[in-house]
Amino acid sequence: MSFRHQARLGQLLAVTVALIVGLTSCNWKQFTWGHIGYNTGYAPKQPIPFSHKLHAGDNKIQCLYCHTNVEYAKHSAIPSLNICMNCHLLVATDKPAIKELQQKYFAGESINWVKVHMLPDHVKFNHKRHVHRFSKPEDRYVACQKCHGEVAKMDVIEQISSLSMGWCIDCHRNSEPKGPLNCSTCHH
Amino acid sequence: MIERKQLILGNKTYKEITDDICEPVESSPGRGWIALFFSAKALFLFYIVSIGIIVCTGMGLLGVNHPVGWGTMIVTFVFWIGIGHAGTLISAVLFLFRQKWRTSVARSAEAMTVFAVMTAGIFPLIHTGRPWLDFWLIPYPNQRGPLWVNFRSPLLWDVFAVSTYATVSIVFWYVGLVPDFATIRDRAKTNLRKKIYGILSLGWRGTGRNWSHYEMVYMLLAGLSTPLVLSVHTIVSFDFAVSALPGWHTTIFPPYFVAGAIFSGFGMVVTLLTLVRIGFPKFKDYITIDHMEVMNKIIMATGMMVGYAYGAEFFIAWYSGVPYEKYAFINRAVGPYWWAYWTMVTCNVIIPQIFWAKWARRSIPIMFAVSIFVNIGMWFERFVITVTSLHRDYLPSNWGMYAWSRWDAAILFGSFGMFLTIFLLYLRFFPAISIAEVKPMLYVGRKSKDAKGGHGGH
Amino acid sequence: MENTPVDTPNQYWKSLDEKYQTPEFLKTLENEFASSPLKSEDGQDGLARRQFMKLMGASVALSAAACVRRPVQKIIPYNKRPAEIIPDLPNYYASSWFDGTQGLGLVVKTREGRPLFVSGNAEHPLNGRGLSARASAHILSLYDPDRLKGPIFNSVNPKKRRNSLRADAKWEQIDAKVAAQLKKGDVALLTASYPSEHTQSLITSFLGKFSGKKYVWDTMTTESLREAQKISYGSAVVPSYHFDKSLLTVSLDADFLGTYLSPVHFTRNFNLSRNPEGKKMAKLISFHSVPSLTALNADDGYQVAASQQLGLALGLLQRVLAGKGTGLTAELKKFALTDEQLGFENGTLTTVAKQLLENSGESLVMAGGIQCESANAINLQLVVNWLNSALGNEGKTIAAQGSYQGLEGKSSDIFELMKQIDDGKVKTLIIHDVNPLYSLPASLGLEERLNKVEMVITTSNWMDETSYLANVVAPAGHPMENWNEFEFANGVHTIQQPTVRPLGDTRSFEDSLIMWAQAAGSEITAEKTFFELLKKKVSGIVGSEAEWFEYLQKGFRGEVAQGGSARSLSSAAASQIKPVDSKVEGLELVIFPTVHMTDGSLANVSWLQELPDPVSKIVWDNVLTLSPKTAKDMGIKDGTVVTVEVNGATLKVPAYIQPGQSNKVAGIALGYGRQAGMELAKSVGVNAAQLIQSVDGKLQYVGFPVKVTKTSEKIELAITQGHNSMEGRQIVAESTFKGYKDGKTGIHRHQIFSIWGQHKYDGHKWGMSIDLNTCTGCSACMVACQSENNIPVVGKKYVLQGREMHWIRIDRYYSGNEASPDAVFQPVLCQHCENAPCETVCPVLATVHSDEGLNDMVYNRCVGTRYCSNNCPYKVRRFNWFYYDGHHRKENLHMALNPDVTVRTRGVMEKCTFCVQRIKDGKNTARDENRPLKDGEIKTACEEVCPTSAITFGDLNDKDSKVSQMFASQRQYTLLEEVNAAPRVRYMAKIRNTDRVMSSAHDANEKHKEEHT
Repeated sequence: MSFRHQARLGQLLAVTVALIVGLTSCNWKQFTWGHIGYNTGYAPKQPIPFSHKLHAGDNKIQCLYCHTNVEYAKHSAIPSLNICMNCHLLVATDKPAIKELQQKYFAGESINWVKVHMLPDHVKFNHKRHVHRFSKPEDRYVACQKCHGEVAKMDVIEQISSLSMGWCIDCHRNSEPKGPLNCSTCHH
Repeated sequence: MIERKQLILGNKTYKEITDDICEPVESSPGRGWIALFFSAKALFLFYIVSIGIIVCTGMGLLGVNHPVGWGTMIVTFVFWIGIGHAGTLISAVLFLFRQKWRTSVARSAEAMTVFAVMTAGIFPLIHTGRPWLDFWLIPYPNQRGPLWVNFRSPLLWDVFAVSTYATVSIVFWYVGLVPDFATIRDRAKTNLRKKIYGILSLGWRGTGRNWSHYEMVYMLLAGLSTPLVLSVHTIVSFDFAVSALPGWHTTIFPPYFVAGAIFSGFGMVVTLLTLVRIGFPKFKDYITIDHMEVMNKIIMATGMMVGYAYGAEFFIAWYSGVPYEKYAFINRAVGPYWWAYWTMVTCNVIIPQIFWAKWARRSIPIMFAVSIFVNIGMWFERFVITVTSLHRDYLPSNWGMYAWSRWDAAILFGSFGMFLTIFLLYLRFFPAISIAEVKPMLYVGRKSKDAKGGHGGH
Repeated sequence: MENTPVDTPNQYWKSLDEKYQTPEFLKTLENEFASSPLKSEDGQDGLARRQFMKLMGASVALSAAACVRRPVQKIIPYNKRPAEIIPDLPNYYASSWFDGTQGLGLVVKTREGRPLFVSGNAEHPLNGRGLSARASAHILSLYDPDRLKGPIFNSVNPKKRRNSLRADAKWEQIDAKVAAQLKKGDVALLTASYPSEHTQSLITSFLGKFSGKKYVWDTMTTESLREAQKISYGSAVVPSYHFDKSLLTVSLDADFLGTYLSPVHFTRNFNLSRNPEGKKMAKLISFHSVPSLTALNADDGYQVAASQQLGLALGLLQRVLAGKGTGLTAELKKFALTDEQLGFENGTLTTVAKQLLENSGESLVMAGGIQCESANAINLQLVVNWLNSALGNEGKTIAAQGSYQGLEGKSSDIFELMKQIDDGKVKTLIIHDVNPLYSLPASLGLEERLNKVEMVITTSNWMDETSYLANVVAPAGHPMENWNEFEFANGVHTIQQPTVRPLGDTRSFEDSLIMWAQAAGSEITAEKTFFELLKKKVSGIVGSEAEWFEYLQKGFRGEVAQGGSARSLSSAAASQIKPVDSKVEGLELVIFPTVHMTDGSLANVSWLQELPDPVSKIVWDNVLTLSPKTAKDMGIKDGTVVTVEVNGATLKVPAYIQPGQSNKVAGIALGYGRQAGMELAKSVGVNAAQLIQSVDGKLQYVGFPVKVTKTSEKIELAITQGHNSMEGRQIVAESTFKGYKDGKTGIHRHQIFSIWGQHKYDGHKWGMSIDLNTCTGCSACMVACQSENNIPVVGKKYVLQGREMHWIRIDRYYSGNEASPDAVFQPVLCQHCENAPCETVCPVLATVHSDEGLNDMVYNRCVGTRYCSNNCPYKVRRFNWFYYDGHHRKENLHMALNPDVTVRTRGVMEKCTFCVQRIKDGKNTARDENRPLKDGEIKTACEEVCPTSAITFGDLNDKDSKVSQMFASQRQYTLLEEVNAAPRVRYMAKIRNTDRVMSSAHDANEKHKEEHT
């Protein structure tokens, strides 16, 4: 009788110890729970199967040719349709996707792209600042890559970085020159 | 020489003691208990619902506003934490001082402590604007950099102080219960009962080794929790003392709060034990009038300490020469919240003075009434400190009043529902007096060592 | 509807809907603006709970499994991006706004084509950078959910028109119907003053075509001023006032700093001569019935009943003339009042007259505004003209050159119009820019007359009191949607260019005229639209296309006309003064405008409704103000409901005890009690216009007997300021000009020491200085801040519970005796303390110091313990008790949100950030142009709109910056220095130019060892 009781107690202890050890010893950075709520690897299907691999990769089109905004503004803005039309009035006009694109353009409509890199409203990220800091005007791709990964190799665009606060801070702490670490740098 | 008073009346035998104390646990409840329990439970449910609504709608439902950022919730939190002091004091400190009379009241006092702390613990959690993010107050590894908590903030000290206190007092209380659980287990008729209490008693066999370990642990825990008696409320008082607000920014707060806490704690013990005595008449032999009298003495003593603190505050306010400080205290006494202040003084300082009279100390109705007043008074003390200091501070343009709403009332009374529900359950499922500790006291102050002889008396 | 601010009695219905029990009204009964957040049917707060559930749901889901995704979001790019728009870069447009009597040059900030923020046009000769609270707020009326979405044709039979049966119409239909009607001729146009020659000439030619006549009327009338000018000087102008040249300004109830004529311009000028560092400092003496902003800023103030204004003026004139060896006619002497008749202490008038004479040519006597529209209005102005001429101020501090243009409202026009209608000479009545059924008393019988007119057309943007009874409502749209050009002051032309495409299907009044004329077959201009007309005309003046664009960029052309000689007072003027004996036994009524409401045209703007009245600090209500003595005699307390009766017209309104008010008067503010079309304003206050009296063809606002009777009811007034006295604490340090010259600043400095070292700042170190001497309390900063920082509005119910959200507030303290107290204003915002008490107590580090000395508030980290607010000595932190920004989400209102500032959710603390988003933008621009930041380049919202530049923000590490110099001034002091929170905001002591011996309350109450500097 007494034995069983003590045994029960033993088991109880063992489990608790195991839990405590387990939780404290695991590395939170890699720990999958550490990415709860972060969209790493998010690669939704887009209304028009636009391929960065084709455009930026094979055809070596500069990022800034389409994403003009990054030079001037916080948002890197999706290009407006008239930019697509610069080429696609003539190029690949036989492809169904391009037909749809043209039809939408001439109808004066737009395309509802699915947003891939989502930051909460309370985070104010400034593309211009980062692009200017990490790259020369002739090759902005260097900067873009840092966060967006090898876009030129992606058929479907995918979120590479966790975009978690820790991820931002990491860079602000360690990169040279260091980035500011004020709360109001990103939150206001 | 004065001969010792009997600690346990009615010439009990050991068996009788066991029977008496186990009776509530083994018999089925009477009407009174059921009625009490269900009314308390109803109040508890009401409490849960109102908390739900407040959390889902916003703190705005309560009277808290600008400038009075803290209201009923914090007031009631401090109130309950205060209640939760007598327990540990009785069980730990008095134990270390070898106060034999503590044995029969210790168990319930501790229980009260645990439940009070549970009740109190709710408030800091729900009083925040975004309760679902409260876990941010816990320093845990996170993906924000990581972003740690602010160890300079008294609120954080609170988190640690209260949780530590809760843990230790629960363990302390539980360890004390183990032998008694074993007793109930061994007396158990049904199998289920045997199992449950079997598990609760952690395989207690009552062997010599068991006892010696038990004594050791109990002693250690007593030593461990003694400083906590002081630390918890000291730190709770820091929530106020550390701030820059006139009326809060005071060095007297720690001792003042601790005294107040013990005061209110004993107040609540008396309230409950008088009820227990009524509910379970057999307990009268264990929780004797003498016990109550001793506690009443403590109430009066601590009451006067608190009274001294009130005085001291005013003196310092005047002596400091700080206009804001001065105004804060004048405002307490004669400002718009004068009624709260004077209720506090009356209940805490004046009324307990009646205990100078022995007959009053030994009269159940009077001590019950007084203990109720003490509870009210101590709630108001916290109200006065929190609200009246806030409602008129540095810049007159900010002055305002607390916008008391019906939700404040719901929260305040609801918390009593929670406390009572748990306490009533405890009375029915746990031995409300420590059998193991009472038995050694059986012969204290008794003439004949012959138990049987005692029976002739009846 | 337990939250209704004023429970108006039955005989005075709260809204026309209510009067007629229309379905709209019955619907609105359910959702009050500030209803309980528990009501699920209630828009904003029902949203709160749903939002909360969503949050909870999301967080639970996310924590449940790592694979759960956030809800899918879409990005929708432009089809063809307009060249001038780069997403998230603001564009700025120079424009303007005409507000009743005052014209302002604006710069409108737009983002992705929607106006977000207005500031003054720094170069504009009138208001410069400064703005009025109303100007900052009028941007919200652009997004007003109650604005009509398009034209409406009211198809009910003309006999008893009700808007309950409305048919929304197409413009073509409207035009056709109107044209048909116009052909019948006999057109009347009722409009307000509008200083645009283009509009006016269009109107003239339009009316010419249809044998029409124009009737002009303004609520904030300048009629008597102009008539008196005509009599005295020959031309009916609204002269220009030069406060910068005046060393002594005597205001006879002229609220030129708050509501009279062009307050922003005046305030700006007025402060130029008030610099205490200079050898001379201008002085302001105010005689007032009800304290106005001007009265509270006066160095010396005296109470006088409205009926005594003329007597007082004559009294002054008599003494002034005596000083110059001439005198008054016996006739006028009779009316000249003496000190004891006015209840002044002996010699007051003589001293004032003496001071006036001493400053001959450098003084200014001023009367005007509706507070002076008594039976003697014109006489008063005549005497004032006489005074100014006698003192040789004419042509110096007051001049015909640069006069205010286009102010031509006449009350006689109203009566003329009514007569015409009675004679059946009006077939079509076009009402533009006025709301006669709201701003004129029902006793005039306008309503019945409108029903007689075959077709009534309003161009109102709301289904308001007048539109309600009109057949056709042709909304003219918001000023920000229309083109125009004004000549506010003689010589200055200011463009008004649209900054957003019309949100609804509205059409500017001018375009309507053109279209209607066309439809009626009689062209009034070759151009298709008013814009083309305007451009053609203006280009004709400015020249080439390039110059036209230059003009658009600059926003204005020309400058205020200067020079010219003083006009001579016509000899006939004196004989024209025919005083009416208007002696009043007992209480007399004064109807006055407030800084934020004035004529009530912006009553539906929640920012203004929740803006504390600078004088009384009351929100969401208008009240009957009584002097402390009067109130005491009548046994009336704050909030006691009283019935106000004037010749049968009665109002029920809560009373408010107003220190510094004349014992003989009861005051009530205009602009409240909107009855239709404005959901927000509907239940707020009562309409004082109902008490306006019409006496032989003139409208009187003040100086007639009123019967005030106390009722048993009581209403809680939402007053944002808890206490009006400084309780002898040094909060506002003040000194007299004399004292200051002897080196007394009234500041009492403490010896502060700290065991900690100071923080080091190698980069910027932001700081702000607020000059209490120039701050007039106009409250423009409060609204600008609200607009810039997405600050929610909470409604009366919650203001009563102390939950207003303003990041910057203006404290107004009285000192001295309550019969005639001195007032001081003090803007208080987050002080960004070095040793910030809030930072140490936040358990989650949601508020921390930045390396530029800012006290950052991180909304998304805040869990809402509210400890920071408790520990803040200045109590500048605001808590989101509910999901407040639900208010912004109503219909178009979300478009007013500034995307650079996070919209705070429920349960978090917020506070002034020193406009950190502006700081960041400023630094970014500097870095892009890689140059150091210029001083004054970054302006906080409050600083930007302040008419007197009382607020200065800048870098303290830059020794030459304006703010550093301010910090070095001897007037500079720290609020609550002894608490040693070491604020970043410093105040400059107030200097009062008076001969009275003033002991700053602080010294009087506290005996300190420290020396006074």
